[in-house]
Amino acid sequence: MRRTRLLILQRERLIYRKIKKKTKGHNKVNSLGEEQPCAGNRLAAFYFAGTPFELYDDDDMDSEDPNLNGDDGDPVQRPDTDLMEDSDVPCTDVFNANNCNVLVNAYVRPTYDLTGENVGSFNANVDDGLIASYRNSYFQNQSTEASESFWTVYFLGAYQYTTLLDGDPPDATMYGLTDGVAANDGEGSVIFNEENRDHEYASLDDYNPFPTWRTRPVNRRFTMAHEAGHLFGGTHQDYTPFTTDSGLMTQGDKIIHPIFTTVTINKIRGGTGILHP
Amino acid sequence: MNRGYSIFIATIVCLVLSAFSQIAHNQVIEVDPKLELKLTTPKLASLLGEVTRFDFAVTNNSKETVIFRNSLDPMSGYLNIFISKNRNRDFKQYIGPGWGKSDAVFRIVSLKPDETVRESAPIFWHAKPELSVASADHVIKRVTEDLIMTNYAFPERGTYYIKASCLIHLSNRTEAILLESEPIEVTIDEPAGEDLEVWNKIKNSGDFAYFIQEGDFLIPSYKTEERAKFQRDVEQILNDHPSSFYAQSLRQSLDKFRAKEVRRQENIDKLRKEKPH
Repeated sequence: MRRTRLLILQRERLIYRKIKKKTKGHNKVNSLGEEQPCAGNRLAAFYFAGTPFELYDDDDMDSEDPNLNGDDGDPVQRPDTDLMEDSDVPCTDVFNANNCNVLVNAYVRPTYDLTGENVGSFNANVDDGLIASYRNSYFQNQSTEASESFWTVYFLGAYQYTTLLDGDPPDATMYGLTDGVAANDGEGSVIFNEENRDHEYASLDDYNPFPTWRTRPVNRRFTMAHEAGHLFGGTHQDYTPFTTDSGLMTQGDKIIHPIFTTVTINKIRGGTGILHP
Repeated sequence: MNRGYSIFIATIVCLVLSAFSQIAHNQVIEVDPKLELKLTTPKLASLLGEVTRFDFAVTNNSKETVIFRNSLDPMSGYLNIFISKNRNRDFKQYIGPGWGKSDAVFRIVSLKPDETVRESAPIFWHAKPELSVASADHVIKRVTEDLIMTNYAFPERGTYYIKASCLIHLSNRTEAILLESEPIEVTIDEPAGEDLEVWNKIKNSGDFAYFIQEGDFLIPSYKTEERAKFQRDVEQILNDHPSSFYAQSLRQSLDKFRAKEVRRQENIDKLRKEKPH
């Protein structure tokens, strides 16, 4: 097997923030004197008018908030590399991955040997411009980018994308974003750690006899591998023959079989003739 | 085994193989007659180098509400555009900037009978693939048969046929369904006089195509000299041909770019102050 190594610069704790903790509030009462409960995104609470109650921040990026205090003080995590370890072991059990490499069938082995560092102050929501600025300021490895022995790509751990795509109501959720304008010309990706990690999803685990990643909309280790797939030219339509299942390249919450399809593997190997970044 | 039985078995085998090869060729699971995809444009005739928007609409023609889990937004990677100079053949795929790279999950789309969901996008700059010189001839042939190989979607005057396809992940089934639109015909004319002079300056440059459409540079931000030169080229064209057909779009893009650059520089300055030394 030809061994090709992928060079990845990890960034820990890109962003860090202080958010308000508990907020005192009251139910609203309409003109007819009827109570109007303040409802969160998913759970509505009912109180009599005038009864004081507490609102909590339900952000739970790292699944460690049984007391519902949001992510106050929690460092933003590094992207989850459980499926992309510096290893020749294929990932046979992606849900309990241990020292495996989902890229091994494409002859790519990640190597994490650039110095990582925590960067910048906390930003709850980052947009393309800010992400590009981080890239310009902190990711400067032109010498390794020019190497013929490695591909150098960057992964950035962030909290949330723009307010329209941060998973908070009423709009959409951006789990990960790969830069570049063509399918295969990106240099790096951003993994959004908080998106759809609200505490309510963890609560759902209580009703599941086998709590797994499935009770969360998307497992972040899949997002990381998915974005790496984009960097190598993978698309959401890398279907397994006779199906419309793109394996790990399936978009977000529609992933059923979290492995790369033969179509994606062929692209990563360069079998389509289209160059990588 | 008698001869008739052998022929019967052989016929069955042929039919099964034929069916599988058909599926493998098309990668289509099912075409749903209840949903209709329509491609339209407000401008059926335009000039070379003129950005034109196209609208995509899916209508529910059934008597039941249809729920699907993916967006029509081209950034999501489930909408494909194909362009040909022949109405019935030789369609090649067009890929716009950033198409298919968004790992965002949008709200579920619920279409009641006769309801329509719409998206729109320009079809102009194309992510022309960079091919490896080491690729085998048959690999290059396949790519060039499947994908547009110019940076402009409409690189020369003439009549073009454009059609759209889109994959829909319905909420009640695993496999996606494929919708295809009827092709529409657009006419692209060649400019004259001074306008032609400008077109001749920009027609071979993907950088100009991208700049006109996006108001940003295709050249990476770390290639400062190349970017400065490109900006000078744009400004030179505007100085030389201030009232050409292309002047307005170039000027608008330049304004947009300058505003982005100011913000980018502000971000970089801010990050520089925060950067640990």
